[in-house]
Amino acid sequence: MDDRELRTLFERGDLQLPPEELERLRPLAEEYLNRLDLLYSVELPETEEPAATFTPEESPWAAEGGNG
Amino acid sequence: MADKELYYLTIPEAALLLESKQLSPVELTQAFLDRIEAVDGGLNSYVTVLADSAIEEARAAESAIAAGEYRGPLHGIPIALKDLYDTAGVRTTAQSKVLEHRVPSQDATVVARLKAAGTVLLGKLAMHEFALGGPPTSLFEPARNPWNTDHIPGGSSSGSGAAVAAGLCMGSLGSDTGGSIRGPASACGIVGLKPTYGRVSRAGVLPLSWSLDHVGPMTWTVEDSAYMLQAIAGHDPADPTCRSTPVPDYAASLVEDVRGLRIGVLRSYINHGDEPMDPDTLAAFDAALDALAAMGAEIEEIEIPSAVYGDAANSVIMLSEAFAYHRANLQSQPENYGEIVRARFSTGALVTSSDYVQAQRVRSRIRRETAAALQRVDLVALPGSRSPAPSFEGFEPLGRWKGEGFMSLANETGLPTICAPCGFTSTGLPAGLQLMGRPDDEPTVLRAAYAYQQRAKWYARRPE
Repeated sequence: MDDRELRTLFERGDLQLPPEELERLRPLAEEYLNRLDLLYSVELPETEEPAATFTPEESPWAAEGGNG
Repeated sequence: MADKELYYLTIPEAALLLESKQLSPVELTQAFLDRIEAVDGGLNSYVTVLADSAIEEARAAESAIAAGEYRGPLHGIPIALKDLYDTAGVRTTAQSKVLEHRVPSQDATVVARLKAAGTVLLGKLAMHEFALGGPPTSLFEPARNPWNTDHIPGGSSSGSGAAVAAGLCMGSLGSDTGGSIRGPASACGIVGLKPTYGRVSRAGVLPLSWSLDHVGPMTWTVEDSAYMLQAIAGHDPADPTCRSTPVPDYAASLVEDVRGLRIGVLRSYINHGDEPMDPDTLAAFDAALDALAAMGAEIEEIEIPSAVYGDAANSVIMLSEAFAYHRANLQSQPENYGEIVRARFSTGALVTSSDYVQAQRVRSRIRRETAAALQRVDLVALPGSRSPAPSFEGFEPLGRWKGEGFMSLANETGLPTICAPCGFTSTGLPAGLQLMGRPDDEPTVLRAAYAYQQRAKWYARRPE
């Protein structure tokens, strides 16, 4: 990742980072992008929806009478 | 009277003495204040000590008990709180210069509930800044591990872990977004209980990541956690994620019987990754499983294949939600954030909407696979960490993300999970055992952890 790409990434959050701070964040950003690569490598069915806030009442366990 | 130092009593041991008036809450509170004065200079577990108000609260408890108004097992019990719980009139900083002068006007719901139960608040405890990153922070010295002060006590509830382990309070509350109750519990050899998502109100607790945050007790024993959970669990209209399902009697689950309980072990998940587990930590975990099997539990290997994506999904979700919360302050006063937490939060700016949605879709899969696994078994067992607590010298907060393993599953699924001590490494540092159960099934989680605790008796060993 070159400096311009790195700066562009952080500017998405309106963060105007000084060069030394940007350089310090480079390894974190690269690690982070690796994690995104991993997540996008997961094969999900087209019907897979994003998780909503956890609601045990709607969980598979609730239908079976709850706690064991 | 007690046959050990007052600051080493468990909550039920102290409750018995307090209720029968063999021990005064004032005497008990003073023992903790003296202990804090004597040893916390080397641990930094407290950021605020409330000596005067604690004695006042203890006197009020003493009068009430003398008048026959005993409120229950937490009446007169000295506790302390991670410094992200709002306390009316008492500075609450999240260990950050950003909030250096913040004094809330109201108690968090759980703080109010603990007060109503009669607890005595000794003070506020150290933490990683805004519950993320690691030492150092922009405000206060970092807490140290009582088992070896050259080592970190885990995080982010670092002060809670250190204070409970060192006998500086009888119980504490931590918060857990990616393991911040269970990690320090494992590192400090104490019990940490992350309840089911929505079981305990988060109103008045500074957020890190709304969809992953949990609050819960950190204590010396399993029964102490059960009593504290009893006091704080239950519906709160001030927290829209808090549910109204009935709260069971957690103390009733404290029985030494795991016969027939099915416990699944995620062996392939434990073995995944480039870095093998520390051998002593793994041996302690395996010995705990052997002990549970010897007591009649059925141990079997199970699979949750997508668990390996858990840390990646957790970090995308956590950092994007945390960035949404901190964005304005990061823009207007970045200098008031500590270097580490500022760097972590800044990476939240990298996340696009599609990244966040993809992480939540992966989370859906993780939840479904976990639900399927928990149809077969009653509990899932995991180590409390990959390795014992690192030294301050060896800790690299801005290096690669390391050692996160085994925590994120419980946050993404919202399932109740306890971490209890299961032994020590050859270097004398604690190891932990995690047990994760079905939604609202804290009773089974507590039962298994209690049965194991009573057999293993790691609680008898205290730091020097």
